[in-house]
Order: sequence, then C-alpha cells, then structure tokens
Amino acid sequence: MTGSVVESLMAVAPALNLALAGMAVVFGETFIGKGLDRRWLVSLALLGSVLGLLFTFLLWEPASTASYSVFQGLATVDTFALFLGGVILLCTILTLISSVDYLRRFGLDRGEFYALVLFSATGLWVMVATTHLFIIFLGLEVASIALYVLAGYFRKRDRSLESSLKYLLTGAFASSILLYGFAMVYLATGTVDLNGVAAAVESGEASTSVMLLALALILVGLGFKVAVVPFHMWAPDVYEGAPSTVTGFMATAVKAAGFGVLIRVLTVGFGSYLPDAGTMLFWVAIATILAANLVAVAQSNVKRMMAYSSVAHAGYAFMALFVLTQNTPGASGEAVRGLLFYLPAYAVSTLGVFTIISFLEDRRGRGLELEDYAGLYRRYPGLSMGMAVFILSLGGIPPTAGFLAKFHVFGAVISCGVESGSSQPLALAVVGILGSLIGLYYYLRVLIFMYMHEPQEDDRQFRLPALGVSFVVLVTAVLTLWLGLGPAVGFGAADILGWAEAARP
Amino acid sequence: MISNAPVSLAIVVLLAVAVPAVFVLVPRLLGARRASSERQTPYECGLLPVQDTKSRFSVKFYLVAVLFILFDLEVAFIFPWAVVYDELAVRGFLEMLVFVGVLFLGLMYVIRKGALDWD
Repeated sequence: MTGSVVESLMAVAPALNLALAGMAVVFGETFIGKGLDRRWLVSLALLGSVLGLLFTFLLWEPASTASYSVFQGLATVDTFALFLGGVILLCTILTLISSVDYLRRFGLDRGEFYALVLFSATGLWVMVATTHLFIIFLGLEVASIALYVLAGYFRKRDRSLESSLKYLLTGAFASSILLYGFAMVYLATGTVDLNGVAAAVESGEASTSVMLLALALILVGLGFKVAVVPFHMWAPDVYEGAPSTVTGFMATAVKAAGFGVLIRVLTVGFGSYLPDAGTMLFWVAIATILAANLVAVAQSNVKRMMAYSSVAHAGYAFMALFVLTQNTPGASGEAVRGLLFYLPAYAVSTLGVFTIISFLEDRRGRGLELEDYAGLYRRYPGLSMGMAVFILSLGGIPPTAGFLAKFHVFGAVISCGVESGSSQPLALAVVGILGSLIGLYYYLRVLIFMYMHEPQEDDRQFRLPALGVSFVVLVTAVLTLWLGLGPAVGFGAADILGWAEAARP
Repeated sequence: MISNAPVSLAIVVLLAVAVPAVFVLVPRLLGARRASSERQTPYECGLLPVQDTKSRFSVKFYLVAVLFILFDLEVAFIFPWAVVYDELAVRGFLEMLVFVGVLFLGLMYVIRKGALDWD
C-alpha cells in the first residue's frame, strides 16, 4: 500500500504519538514552569505511549494482510514492525511509571526525563519500522542521543557521568562502524533500501567481497549496540552508572530494537551471503554466553550482575540469528519466531528486576549490593515474591516466560542441527544449556540472599513501595507468568506466540 | 549496480593512505629544517598566541556554542528546501512549518530555561 500523507501519518501513528507526547511534555515543562505538578507531565507522557500501543493494535489487522510502505518507501509498517514496536511501547510505559517514584525520591522529577524517554522510544520504533538503511541509522541516533543524556541524568553522581561518557564514546564508535557498513552496501549495490539490496544480490550485480565486508561491519556495529562479546565492554559500567530505570529501558527496549534491525537486515538484505556469516555468529554466540555468564558469577553488585546477565541473554538471542545462516528454512522460521518471543519475555522480567532495584536504591546510591538484599522478604514480601518470579524467568525455570523463550530458541537451534545434519548447531545448543546452568548459580544466589540470609543491621528505614512501583512489579510478574503459561496451556485468544508467528518478516 | 565495486573501494583505501602519507613525507624530504622561535609557536590563524591554552574558561561559552551550532544547522535544511520551493508547493511549505515549529519549541525551551542568560 502506498498512499496519501494522511495514510502515511496513520501508519506511523505509534511513533507519532510518542514524538508528539514528548514535545508536549517539553512544552509543559517550558511554559507552565515552576509551580507545575509533574504528575500532569507524566500523565501526558503515558497518554502518548498508551495511545501508541492502541494504534499498534488498530494497525495490526490491516498490516497483516498488506504491510504499509509509506513515505515513498522510507517507512515499512508490517506486523514485524508493529510487534517489536509494541514491545518497545510496553517497555516505555513501564519505564515511565516506575521512574516517577524513583526520580521524586531523588528530587529530580523533571519533564525532561520523560520527554527523553519518549524521544528515545520514538527512535527505536522508527528503527524497526523501515527497510531503508538511512532511516535505520536515523532512528538509532535519535534513540542513542536521548539515551546518552538519560545515562548521565544524575549529573551530581560521578558514576552517572562516567556512564554517560562511556556510552557516548563507544556508541559513537559503533555508529560510525555501522554507517561504514551501510556505505559498503551502497557501494556494492547502488541502493540503501534493503529490498533493492536483495534484488541486486539476486541479479548477481553486487560484488561479493564488498557485501561480505559490509555484513561484517554491520554485525560489529549492531553487536556493539546489543552488547555481545567481544563488543560488550561498555555494558557493565554504563548499566551500573545510569539511573536504574534507564538501565532497565536500555536493557530491554534498545535490545528489542537492535535485534529487530539485525533480523531485518540479515533476512531481507543479505540473503545468499548469510552462510558466510555463520562462523562469526557461531563464535560470537559461544563467547557471549560463556564469558558473560562466567563473569556475572563474580559480581557482588546486583546492577552489574544484571548487566552481564543482559549480555548473556543477547548471546542466547544470537543463537537464533546463527540458525538464520544455516540454510535450513524450517529451523529459520522457528528461530525468528523464538527470538521474537524471547525479546518480550526477557523484557518483562528484566524491567521487573530493574524496578525493584530502583526502589531499593537510596539517595546516596546504596542498596545495590547483593548483601543489601539479605532478608529482603521480611521487609517486602510482595516485592520479594515478584523478584523470585523474575529471577526464575531469567534463569529459565518453568512455568515462566524465560523458560518458554529459551525452549523455543534452543529448540530452533537443535532442529537446525537435525535439518542440516551438521554438528555446529548442536554444539551451540550444548553451550547454551551450559551457560544457562552457570546462569542459574548467580540468579539463584539473589534468591538465597533474599530468603535465606538474616537481614543486616542498618539505618535504612522501611518505605512503603509507591503505587507505581507496585503496579509495575505486579504487571511484569503477571506478564512473566502469562507468557510462560499462556502459550503452553493454550489459553487466551491473543496468543503471543501466534503474534510472533504472524510477525515473521 | 557498480560492477567494479572492489576496485573503487581499493582506490578509496589507497587514496586515504597515500594522501596523508604524501603530506607527511614530502615536507620531511624536501622541506628546509631551520628552527626559529616563530616556527615553534602554534599556528592560530596568523595571530600570535597570547597565553597558555590550558587556562580555565566559563562553561557558558560551551553552552552558547552548542546552541549556536544547533540552530545554525537548521539553515542547512532550509536552503535546499528554498531552492525547490516552487515544486514542493503547499505541502512542502506545511512540512517546513512543522520543522520550524519543532525548532521554535526548542528555542522557547532554551530561553525559558535561561540557557542564554549569561548570569
């Protein structure tokens, strides 16, 4: 479908809502000024993102029959874009809600924060809703620049500034590598639209060596963004220093968008060159899973541990990308579906964890060590229960979302091995399972501290969890269980696996 | 599309290495080596340096400079629009209104937040 301006604007309505809400928040912060109750700004931000989610549902039906290609083909709104866009919007909504109490306790409850989250989400949405390489880059930069600022939002804390600076430097470096990859694609094919690239590859006009160089550069650039070994060095410091709710957003929405772009670029643009990327993806996945899980064991800071955990999960997701390179059509379909299920499953559990982390963090930045979680269940039985659900999900224990997500991704890798008869996928599956076992050690350690250690004597007072915190923990816990149980027992018309199936590009 | 892409890429790489190499090597081989106090001073657009560059200056300069770049860059988008104004017609005009409107909101924000006040 190609159509009028109105149709174009309707098709990108979710991003438009985010951007307009962001500008409205800036407007409110600018003109209504000093005496303003910031709750109105948060409500405005939430309204924009909830409307965005609503439009996502409204667009789903028409997009599933014929995807929108609007703005002269610059934006491609298909079910794939809407699915990942929905995940990004969900992460945005939960981040906004959990940030209110967190920022208020630090006296930093400003409209700018919410506006930047919305602008970042806009960029991420744009990234997944296009096949045009420049628009991918545009979205990536809009999202990243907002995040550089958000990472340094606690400007009086050295850690936060360090986080912002490291993210900026490595992010800019990664962006330039990615852009160089896009330039190579243009050199080889004369176009920057992935469909055009695919056509040029098919007709044999594209130069193989330049396309392979482009593929390597793009994988490195996006590898930085989603933080896989050996491009993960920035992640622990950035995740630790950034405000906890921002870290949650970075670990979920940004990863979802990054993997969305990876899937689209690999499946749409590079088609016949994919088998050559197999070895690279194989070793990256193995290195990521093993290194991240092993280093996470040694962490005593929960935020740092979660950073390595997020790197490890990017490794499991890379296993699914590896399957795409193996010329096994059946398993490839399974892998994309598994990965698309993995992203929201991982997102809800991680957002829940970071909401609890942000609640336990105090003004001086304490409360982030594993010891601080000792005996937590006596003070906060509800939050501890939620934490247990998230931790089990991240560790991959049934009946949670994390188990089912791992089940589908590992299943795809194994059926790829069966289909192709090669031993490489099976080796990868074994490494994945080993990594999950190591992961269980440090995940369960949090539970042991919470439930089996005596609480420390300290001066910290009991705070009643704010409504927003309780709400987010409740919603993410319910979603974690629903994603884990729903598809397995087949209840609910809106079966998320069915959506993921429909969203395959 | 471009059938000799690897060749073009090789030429670019070659030029990228060769041009700086020539710039560095040729003066070294051909240039006279006479040390004098003028030669040792840093080149600053022809002006004589008056003091050490490591002195501290107000961070407000930075803010003003960044804001200047930001609003200066918008002109880069307006020039090409102005050139094809007739072809874009009303739609182009409305689109530019949206663009300038967003920038205007940014300018209002900057002014209201006091980013342009020196004190």
